[in-house]
Amino acid sequence: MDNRIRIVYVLLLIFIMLFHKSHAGINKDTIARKIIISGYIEDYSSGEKLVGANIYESANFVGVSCNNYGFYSLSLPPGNHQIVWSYMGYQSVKQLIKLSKDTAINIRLKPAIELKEVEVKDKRIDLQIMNSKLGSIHLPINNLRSLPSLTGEIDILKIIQLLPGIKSGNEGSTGIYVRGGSPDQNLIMLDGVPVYNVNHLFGYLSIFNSNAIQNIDVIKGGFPARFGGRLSSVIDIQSKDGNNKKVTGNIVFGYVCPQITIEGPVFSEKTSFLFSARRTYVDLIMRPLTKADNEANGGSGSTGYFFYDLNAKINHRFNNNNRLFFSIYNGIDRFQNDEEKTSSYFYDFNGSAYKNYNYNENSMDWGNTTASLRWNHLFNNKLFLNTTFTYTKYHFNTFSEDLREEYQNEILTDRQRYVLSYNSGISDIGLRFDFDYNPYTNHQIKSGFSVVNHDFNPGVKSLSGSVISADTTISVGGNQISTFEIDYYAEDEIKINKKLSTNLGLHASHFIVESKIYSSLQPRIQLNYKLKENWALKSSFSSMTQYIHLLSNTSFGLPMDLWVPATSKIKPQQSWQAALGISHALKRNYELTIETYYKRMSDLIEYKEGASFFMEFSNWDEKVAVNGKGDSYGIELLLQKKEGKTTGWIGYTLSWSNRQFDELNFGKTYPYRFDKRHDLSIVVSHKLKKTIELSGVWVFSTGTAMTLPIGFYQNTQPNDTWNGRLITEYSERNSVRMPIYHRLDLGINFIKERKKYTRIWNLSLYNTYGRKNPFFVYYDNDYNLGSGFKQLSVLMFIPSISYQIKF
Amino acid sequence: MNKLYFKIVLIGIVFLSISCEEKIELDIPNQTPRMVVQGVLSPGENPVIDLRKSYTIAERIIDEHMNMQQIYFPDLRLYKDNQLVASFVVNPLDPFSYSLNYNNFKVGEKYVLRGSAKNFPDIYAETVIPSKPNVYITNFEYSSISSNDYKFSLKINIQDNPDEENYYAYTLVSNNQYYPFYYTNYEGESNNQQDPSITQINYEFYVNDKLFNGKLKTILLDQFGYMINNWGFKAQETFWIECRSITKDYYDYKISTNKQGNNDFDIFAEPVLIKHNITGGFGVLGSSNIQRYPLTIQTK
Repeated sequence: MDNRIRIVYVLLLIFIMLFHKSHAGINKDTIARKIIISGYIEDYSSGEKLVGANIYESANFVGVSCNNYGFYSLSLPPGNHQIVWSYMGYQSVKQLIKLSKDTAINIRLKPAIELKEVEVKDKRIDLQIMNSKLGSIHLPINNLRSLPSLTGEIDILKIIQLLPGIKSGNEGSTGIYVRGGSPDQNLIMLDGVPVYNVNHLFGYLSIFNSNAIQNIDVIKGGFPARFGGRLSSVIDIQSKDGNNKKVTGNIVFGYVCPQITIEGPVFSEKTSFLFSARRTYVDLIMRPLTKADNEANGGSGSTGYFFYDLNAKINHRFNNNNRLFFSIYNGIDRFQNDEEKTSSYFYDFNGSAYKNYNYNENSMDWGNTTASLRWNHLFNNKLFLNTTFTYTKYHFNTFSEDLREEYQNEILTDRQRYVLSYNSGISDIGLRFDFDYNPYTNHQIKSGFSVVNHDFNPGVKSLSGSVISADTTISVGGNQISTFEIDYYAEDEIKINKKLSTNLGLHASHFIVESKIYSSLQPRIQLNYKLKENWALKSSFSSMTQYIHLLSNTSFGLPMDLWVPATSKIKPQQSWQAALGISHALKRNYELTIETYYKRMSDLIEYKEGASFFMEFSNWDEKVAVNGKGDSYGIELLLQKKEGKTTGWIGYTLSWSNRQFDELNFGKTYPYRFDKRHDLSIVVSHKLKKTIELSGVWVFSTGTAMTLPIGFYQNTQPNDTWNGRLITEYSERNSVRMPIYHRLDLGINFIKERKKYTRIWNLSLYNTYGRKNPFFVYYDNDYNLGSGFKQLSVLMFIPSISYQIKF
Repeated sequence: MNKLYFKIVLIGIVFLSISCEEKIELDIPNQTPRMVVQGVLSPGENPVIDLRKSYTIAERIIDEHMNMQQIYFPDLRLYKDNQLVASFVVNPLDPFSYSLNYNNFKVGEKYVLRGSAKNFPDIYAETVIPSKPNVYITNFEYSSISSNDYKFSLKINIQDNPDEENYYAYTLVSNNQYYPFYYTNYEGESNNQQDPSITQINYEFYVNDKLFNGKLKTILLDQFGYMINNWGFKAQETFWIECRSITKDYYDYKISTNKQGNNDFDIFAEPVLIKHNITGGFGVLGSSNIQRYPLTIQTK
């Protein structure tokens, strides 16, 4: 966006805030003395914070929502007020309170147990309609647990894929593509810490253990100023704090991995902990089988794959004004294969004895470690501070060794050893301060700043070759790059009058890399206008800057994707997005949202044609096409039902997403890989009775765009390296579509409450009617079937079963 | 119970691994075979172009069935200013080789190739004859000398014409044999890495116009291997530095086909789209203009 526009915006922002404040100054509401009512809203039985819970004064319909830490602050005039605390899926609490001085009230809400349909007629719905932000969706995890799954346990990223505006990647993968953006443009955070690779099992399972998760917020547009650093989305995942009332937990036996979660108080209610762990069984079966196979062939060695992850969190409440949280995540995927074989002796005519020894080892491992130390401090009932120290690291390593030795009469006569290793990764250390300041009823101000040191290791390849007499080692690849990112922001949620509210904000950032400093001002604005009861018109504009890029050859979200920074040669990515939408609360707890958006992206990068992360011995920055442009636009419809016996949603997206690079596709604009014209999801969960829950998911989408051969011919250029070889003529980039994608998943939960625990059997059917959806499509010059395109389909009719004990 | 879980896990792995391959029909344009032209026009030379048909994706490709590529009775004509210059004639010994009895190509002239054949879309291509490269050798030195053998390095200056978008190819040739250079770069840059504007294809170096942009550039060439022992030179022999101006279309075609060949075995590599200039068909009609510089080398 033009700098002049940014400057005009900043001046406008200051003007509006000053004007509104001066206007507010003559408003009798704000002249009058205000009483602050503040506190935390928590779950009754576990003490978990209820992010996004509402508090409002029912007569005048004045209210606020809790922040990410469950804290609220509402200012009201002195006098008697009917105050309501409410949260979706919980029983509301109403109290008549006489306010004469600032009051702190911590509220614990009980989960709703009423299953029959109740039409909520109070003003909570109206408040929800007004308070919900354009492009934002809040997903309480408890409402999603009964949904069917591929692996027997719900995967939160796969649930996010079912929301409108969000596309999935390949069949079964956890790839997230938001409003035409690429996966690197999603800021996926676990307890405020960015996670750089969210995949286990080559993308079939996300790293987020749903039993350790409390809430998920997904923001696709209309970004509040407190978020920055990514162009397309913020996925804010908050883990549970741990039950501070009693020790609880659950154990799940799924067919992929068993898991255990345990949480509870430590000594008193002031301290609680949570620990959760998962590990696959696969290697426990693969290793003995492959070992037996190798031994049967006269060798030794085995093949195995496993992943594990651990989540741990502890928090302590010193007093009502100070809370400390420490959370850590560690997860690793590892594939390893080794084979060793010594031949039997063979003899020449002279009677010399010969034998060969071969050893081969291949391994690949990747994983994340994240940690956050967070301090919540309440200065007074208007000012709240969250200080977070963050650490995150992602690594990807491959190693391959090939050793061959020849012996003559037990004397080593020849030896060849080749070792290839490839390492890449990224690590961040950061410090962040977030202030919430609620000076008046009409203003909720948030501001803060953060400093992050990113260390990039963009793919260092080392090739060692040694023969009997000499050793050689070549190391090629990017040097480690250290960068600093500094961000600051301010935003104000202003209720201009009973109908109109706005969120004005500004996010500014600097990025220091290779003696170059990039700076960016990113204005954000959101307007909500209440048309009439239960109807709201909303619009937003946000400008975003992203200083890191992800280089990806494939769409599988494979671990070899490479995180790289903006450098002196490669600019940061930029975008702006404008959106307009309407929300309406229908009868019987239905809520309808329709949004349209237009997003423009610039300074994107992609691998050049022919480039690959692995084979070429050259630096990453020589392999990329730069200064790419992109745009995406569409309309999204979301009809959801959040409460009652039957819950779920219907999401539909009609969208377009394009890219243009001077160096790709002859400079012509082409569809983005996940430009899917139509995308429909129907998600239903129904509580048949107290002991049985049914669920179903049906998805339909246009096929993924791809580039395929359209013809071949022989290279006949004289003196050419590839003379005689077949040249492949491809279609224009991404101009061919895979067949359409659709599938139906069904699930059923059998719940039985025992004296000391609850057990749940979950049966799921993934792709119930066995649709052969394309995993990938390729050309095959087949002798029997004839030449043409073939489709590989996976995951057709996958039943799964899991057994869960909750105590 | 353990047995039960063992079975559950085994079943899970089996199901996850189950996959299905099947042939599918996709909505892909341009499914008919095309005429493929690969040829270059150069002043003073009678052009010989290769003409053959392309395989469609539905055809099974068998190496030994070369006649599958033959196009029968095509009509290939070259035009200048809408005037017919001549028709290409097939070589009776090589059904893919078509020659033109004409070599009076002049710098700046635009030539148009039109072709047609039964069951093929008509083809059209045009090319403009580039000017000769303005090249001169500024320095020659022996970089390594053994008892009876030697290597050498050269500095070649190319003065780019700012009015033309010129691309260049240069090589070392003697007795119709090409000799490889070890390294090439242009002066003023680090010697550690070859500039991405220079691409080596077989024994030739192809240089992007971006490298020059109308300026004078000096290119360094180093010889790979000893001339006598490695390359069979005589102790005293004349050879040529051969430098060609080539059209952008030809340069793009060479670079893209070479890049595709280099990445043939890398499953992670992005597809390389071939930059051809044959409308209605595939391949390239390029043009070039050659300058040769003789050098006589003696062992010391």
